[in-house]
Amino acid sequence: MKVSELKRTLNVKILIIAFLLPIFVIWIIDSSLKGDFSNLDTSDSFTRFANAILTSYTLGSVILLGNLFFYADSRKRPLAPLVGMVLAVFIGIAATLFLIGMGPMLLEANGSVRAQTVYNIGHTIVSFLAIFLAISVCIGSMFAALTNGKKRKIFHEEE
Amino acid sequence: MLIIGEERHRESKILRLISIVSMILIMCGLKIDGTNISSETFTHYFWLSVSDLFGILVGISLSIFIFGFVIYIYERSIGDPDSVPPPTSEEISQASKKIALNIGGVESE
Repeated sequence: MKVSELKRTLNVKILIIAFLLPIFVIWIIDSSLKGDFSNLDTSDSFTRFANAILTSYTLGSVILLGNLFFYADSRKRPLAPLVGMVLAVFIGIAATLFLIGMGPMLLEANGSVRAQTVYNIGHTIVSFLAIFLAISVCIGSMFAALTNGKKRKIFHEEE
Repeated sequence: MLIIGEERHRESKILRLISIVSMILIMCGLKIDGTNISSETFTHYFWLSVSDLFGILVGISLSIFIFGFVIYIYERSIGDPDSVPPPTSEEISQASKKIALNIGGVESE
């Protein structure tokens, strides 16, 4: 394996660990302090997880469908990928409505399928805003650190 | 930060500090009852948010995968573009004449 490939594989591993490690550390510390497996309600968590997957998949597909128009500009405006992506969006919507309509599996404290769907969309938008806020804080602190540092000399000035 | 840039130890330290402070705040929320929210309620909502984040990650990854798959299938169905036939001897001689006309010039001192 080349050095660049090895470095790339290592970077991906570090990124995955950096994402998962804090959650596991919090879980382990919390479970150790409380003496049980925390207050983790698996059925509620699964419902939220499944709802988040379906909603983010559908919303993500809609956004990427819009992106296909830019792709079509670089080709002879093909219809096939557009139809494929529209189909993917419809599958997402149909799966969401069908699975929520099945009953208590994906239905949270909402009375109807429509209410649950709107709740899911609202929830996803709020989560995206939270992620955006976290990214802004990180980028802001990075810029603050970079601009606060000593000015680096590129060339030595001639006397 | 260590992955993206080189010699970014100071910036990675700041990010680590932000991460540790956030984790301490979460641990406090999970352990200590506040005036507005009890630790049990916080724990419940915290794990719901974790599930939410994982769900969003999986859903977005899935949609990107489907997008890539659709493009891949389309690009594969197009096939290779028709290759240009090799130049004839007449075309080669015409090209060499043009090149000969444009090569040369005055040598610089």
